[in-house]
Amino acid sequence: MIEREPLLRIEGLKTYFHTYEGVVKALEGIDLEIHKGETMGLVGETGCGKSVTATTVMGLIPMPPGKIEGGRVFLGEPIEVTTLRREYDKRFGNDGEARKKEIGKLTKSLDDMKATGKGKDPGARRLKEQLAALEYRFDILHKTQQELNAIRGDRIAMIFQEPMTALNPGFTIGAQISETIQLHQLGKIADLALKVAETELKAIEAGKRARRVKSGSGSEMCSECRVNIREDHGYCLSCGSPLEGGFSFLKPMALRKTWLRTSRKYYARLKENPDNTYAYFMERLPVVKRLVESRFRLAKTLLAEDALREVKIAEPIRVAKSYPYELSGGMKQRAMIAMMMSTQPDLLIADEPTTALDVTVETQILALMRDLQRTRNTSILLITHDLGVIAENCHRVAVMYAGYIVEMSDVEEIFKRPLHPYMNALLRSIPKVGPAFIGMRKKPLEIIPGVVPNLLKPPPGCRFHPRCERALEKCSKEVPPLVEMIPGHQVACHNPVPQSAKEASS
Amino acid sequence: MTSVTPTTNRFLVAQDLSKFFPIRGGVFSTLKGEIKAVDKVSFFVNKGETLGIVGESGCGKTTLARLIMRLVEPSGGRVVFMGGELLKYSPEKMQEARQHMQMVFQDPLSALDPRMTIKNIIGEPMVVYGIARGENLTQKVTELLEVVGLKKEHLNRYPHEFSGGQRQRINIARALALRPSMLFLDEPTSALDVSVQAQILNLLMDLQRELGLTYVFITHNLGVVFHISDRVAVMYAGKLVELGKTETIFLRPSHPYTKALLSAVAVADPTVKIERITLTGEVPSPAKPPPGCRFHPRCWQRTAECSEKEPLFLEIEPEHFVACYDPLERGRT
Amino acid sequence: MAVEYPSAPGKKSLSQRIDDWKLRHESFIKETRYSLYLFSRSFLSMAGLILILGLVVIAFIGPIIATYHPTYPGDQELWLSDPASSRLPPSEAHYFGTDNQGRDIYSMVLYGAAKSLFIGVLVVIPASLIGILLGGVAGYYGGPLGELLMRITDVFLAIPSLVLAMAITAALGPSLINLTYAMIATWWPWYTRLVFGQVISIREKQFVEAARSVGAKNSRILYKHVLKNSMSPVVVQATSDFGYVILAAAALGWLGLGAPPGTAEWGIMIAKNQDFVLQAWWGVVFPALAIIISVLGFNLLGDGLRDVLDPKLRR
Repeated sequence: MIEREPLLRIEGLKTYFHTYEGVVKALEGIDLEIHKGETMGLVGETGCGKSVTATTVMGLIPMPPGKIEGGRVFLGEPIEVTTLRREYDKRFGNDGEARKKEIGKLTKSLDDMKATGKGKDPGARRLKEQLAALEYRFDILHKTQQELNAIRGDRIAMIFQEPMTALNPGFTIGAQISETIQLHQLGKIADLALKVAETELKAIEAGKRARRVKSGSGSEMCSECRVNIREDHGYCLSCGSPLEGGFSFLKPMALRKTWLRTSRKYYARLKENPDNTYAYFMERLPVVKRLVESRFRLAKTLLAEDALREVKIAEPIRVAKSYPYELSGGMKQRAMIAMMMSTQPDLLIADEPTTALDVTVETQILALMRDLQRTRNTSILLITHDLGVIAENCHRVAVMYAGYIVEMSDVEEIFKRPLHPYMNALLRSIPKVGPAFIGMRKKPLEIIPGVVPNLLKPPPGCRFHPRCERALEKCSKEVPPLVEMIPGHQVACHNPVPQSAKEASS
Repeated sequence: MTSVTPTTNRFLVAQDLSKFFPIRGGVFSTLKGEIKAVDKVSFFVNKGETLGIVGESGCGKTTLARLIMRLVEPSGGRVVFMGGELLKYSPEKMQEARQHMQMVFQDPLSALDPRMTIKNIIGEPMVVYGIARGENLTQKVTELLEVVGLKKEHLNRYPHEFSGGQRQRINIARALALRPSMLFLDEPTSALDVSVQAQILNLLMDLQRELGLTYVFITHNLGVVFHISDRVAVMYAGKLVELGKTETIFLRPSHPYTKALLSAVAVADPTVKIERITLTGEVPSPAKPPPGCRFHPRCWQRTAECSEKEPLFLEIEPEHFVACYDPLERGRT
Repeated sequence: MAVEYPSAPGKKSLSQRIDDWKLRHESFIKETRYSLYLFSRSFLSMAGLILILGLVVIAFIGPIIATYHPTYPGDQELWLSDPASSRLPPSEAHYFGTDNQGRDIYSMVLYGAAKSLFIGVLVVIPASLIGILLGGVAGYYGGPLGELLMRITDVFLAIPSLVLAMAITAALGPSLINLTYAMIATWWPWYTRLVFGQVISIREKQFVEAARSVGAKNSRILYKHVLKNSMSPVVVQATSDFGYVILAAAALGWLGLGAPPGTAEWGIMIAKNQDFVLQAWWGVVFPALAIIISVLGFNLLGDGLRDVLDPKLRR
C-alpha cells in the first residue's frame, strides 16, 4: 500500500440521536482515513449513516436530538503525528482500541495530561504526551464554534444533493460566491481592489481619457487599450482610463482622484490586516464604507466570475448575475462547486452531488470534479449510493451499513473481490448493461431479502445478519470488528465471502 | 405522417401526439409563445410487453404519459387504445376506459395522501367505481396488499410510517385495484435504494407475468430499462428520436443522442474504461427550440440539413425508427 | 401480541367493538398520543390550554358561583343598581368591588365570560366554514369563478373591519346576535384567503393527480383530499381568532355597539367605568384582565397547536 499523507482521520466516531421514540444509533464507531489528493467513496443506502458521517465532520449535526457520543476527527495532521503514532504502537502494542482509550483519557484536557502518565518510562510518558498534544490540536470535533467556522468553508467544503435547495433563492449566484470569498479570503479581494484602484489612479493622473468604441464582434471596447469593456463600468479595467458615459458617480476628476486615493489607502491596510481592519471599518463608519465599497464590490464580482470560469460555465458574467431559479440543475451544481472550491479547500465533501441530475450532466459534473482534484490536489469524500459512480471516480471505497463501516479497500479490489456479503449481494442485485448481459434480461434480479434495520432497535451483533445468507450463530452475538483480511482490504465480517467461490461465480 | 399505424396486435398506438403550453405575458395576457412539451410523438406498444421510455429531465416523457391517460389534455394527435379512439371519448366513456390504464407515480411519499390510511388509499379506486364497500372492500384491499408483498396489519397505518420501498408497493397496489390491462410507471424506482429497487423490479416483472399486464416504463436509469424492457423509446426535447427493440437500441444505437446517452451510463466495474461522449451545451429551452433537428447544436455529426428542417421519424429497419439525417444512415434506408 | 383481525360477522360485545375500533385506528391513536406529548412539552402551550379550560368552565358555572345575579325583565338582562354601594373597593361582599352604580363587578365579569365565549364560537365557526367553502372552491376550480370570489374577498378585506362592523350593527340595531352577524361579515375573508392559498398548493401535489387517475371526480377530490390536508392552518388561525373575536366584541361593546347597554359584557363594563378609573380602578382593571387572559390563552393555545401540527417539527 502506498504511504500517503492522511488528510482526514476519523477515529471511533459515534453519533446518536435522542428522539421521542428512543435513541437512534446512527454511527457506531467509524474509522476512516482520507489521504491527500485522493477520492474516497462512501457507499451505502438510506439509513446507513453516510450523510451523518459527513455532517458530523462538518459539525452540522443539530445538537438537541443529535449527540456525538465519542470519537475524534483529525484534520490535516502532519506526517509527524502518523510517525509518532506508529512509534507508540510499536512500543505499547498494536491495539488501536487501547491506544485510543489511553490517549483519549489523556486528551480530556491539556492540564490533566501533565498529571497523568504512567511514570515508569519517562520516554514513554513524553511520547504519550506529545501524541496527545498533537492529536488535541488537530481534533476538530472538540473545537469551539469560532474555530469551526474558520475551518468550514476554508479547509473543508461540502456540496449537497439538491442544488435547488442548497442555494439561496433570494440572492444572485455571484453574490453567494462573493460571500464565501469574503468570509475566507478577504486579503485576495483587497489585493484585487487595490490593483484596480491603482490602475485607475495612474490613468487619471496621466490625463488619459477613453471612449467606447465598437469592436469587430459588436461589443464595446476601450479606445485606449482596445480591451473589451462592460456596459456598466465607468472606466476601463485594464488601463484604468475613465470612460465617457457609463455609470460613474464622481464625474469631476479631482474628486475622483481623492476618492481613489482614500480607497487605495484603505485597501492596502485591509490587505495587510484582513481580520481587524475590515470589521472595524465596516461596522463603524458607514460613510467610509459607502465610499470605498465600489471597487471592493467590483473586485468581489470579478473573483466570483473567475470562480465560475474555473468550473467551465460558459457565460460566467451572465450566470453571476442570475438567480438560482434561472439555471438548470447542472449549472446550479456547478455554481455550488464553484462556491465551495473558491476557497481552495483541502477536503471537499460531496453528498450525493449528482443524484438529482441527469445522466449526461452527471458525467460532466464528475469529470469536472476529477479535473479540479487533479489540478488542486484536493481530497474528495464522495458519498453516494450509485456503485457506477464509485467505480469510475474513486480511488478507495468504504461501504457502510446501518452505522458501521463493513468494508473498505481500493476500488478495483472491492469490485473484484467483495468480501462482505452485503457488498457482494449489492453488486449482484443491480441490473447490468452491456452485450454480455443480454441473456440476463427479464430474469429476476438477485435481491437481498428484508429491509434496512430500524436504527432504534438494531439487531444484536452484526447488523446485517438477519439478511445475510452466510450468517453464523456468532453473527447474532458479536459485532465483527473491521480487520484487514487482505493487505489493503478491510472487512467487518465473521464469515466473509471466500475468494475462490467469488472467482468461480464471476 | 409516420409509419406508426394502429394494427390489431398493437395495444396502444399514439400518432403525432402533441402538447403545447401557451406562454402568456403582458398586461392583457397575450399569447407570447408556446412551450412545446411534447411535439408530434408517435409510438406503439404491443400487448403484454414493456416499453421503456428514456430521456432526461425536461424531455417530455412524464408529460407524454399524462397525455395518454388524459390527465392533461393533448393539443393534438391521435391515440388508439384497445381499438378505440381514446381522445374522442366522452367523459363517461373516458371514465370507463380509465379502469384499464393506471399509473404508478414517481415519488412514493407524495403520491399518497398523508391523511388517509392505506386501506382507504388503495380502496379509493374501488369506491369511486362502486366495485366494493365496507367489509368487502377490506377484504379486497387485503388481497391486494398480499399480492404486492405487504401484510394485513398495514391496512390502518398512515403513509409516513412506511419505508420507501413499501410505499411504492402501496402505489402499485392502488394501481392494480381496478384490474387494469396497462400500467404507466413513472420513474417507479428512482427514489428508492439500490437493494429495494431490485425487489420492486422483481415484483413488477412477476406481476406482469401473472396478470398479463402491459407496461409503459418511464425512467432515466438505463440499467433498469435494459433489464426490464422489450422495446425502448428515446426522447429528447419533446420529440421521440429513436424507437426499437431493447437489444437494437443498446447494441446498435442509431441516433447520436442515444449514443451519447448510452455512453454516459456509469458502469459498476472500475476495470471497464468507457469512451465517453461528452455533450457540450445544454438541453434546449422548450419555449425556443432550435430550428430543424432539436439536437443539432450539440451533435457532432450534424450537416447543413439538420438546422433547416426537422427530420422525419422513419423506419430504417423493421421495428426500428429514427429521426435523423445522419449520412451514414442514408445508406441503410 | 397475536392480533385477530375482525372478520367474523355477527354480534359483538361492546368491549369487542371497542377493541375493534382501537385496532382500526391504531395509527391514529398513536399519532394523537404523539401530538399530545409534543404539546405537553411546551410550557406556554399548556398554560394557554389551562387558561382556556378555565374560561370555558367559568362560562358554564359562572352563574352558579356568582354572588349577585341580574334580573331579566322582558328578556333583557338588567343589573339592579344600588347607589348606596357605589364604587366600593374589593371586599368580602364584593370580590372585585362595585362600579359606579353599585353593581357587583365580580358577578358581572363571570356572566360576561359566557357571552364572550359564545360570541367567539358563533363568529369563528361560521366565518371559517364560509371561508373554507369559498376558498376551497376558488382555489381548486380557479377560472373566472375563482377570480370573482377572490376579488369579492379583497373588497371585504379592504374595508376597515371595525367600520364595517359598526355600519352593520348600526343598521341592524344593538343586540348580541346582530353583533355576531356583523363580525362574521368582517371575519370570513381571512379564512377564504388562507384556505385559498393552501388549496392552490395542495392541488398540485401528486396524490391529487393520483386520485384523478383512479377516476375520482373533482368534488370528491376537493372534499376528501384537498380540504382535509388544508385544515391545519385553519385550525391554528381559528384558535387564535377566538381570542381576537372576544377582543373585537369587547371593542365594539366599548363603542356602544353590539350588546344593549345594561348587559354584563366586558367591553361595555370598561366603557362605563373608565370615567372613574382613578377613583375606582377595579371597575376597569378586572374586566380588562378578563379580556387579556382570554386573548392570551387562545393565542398560546393557537401557537402550541401550530407547533404540534407543523409536519416539519414532528419527529
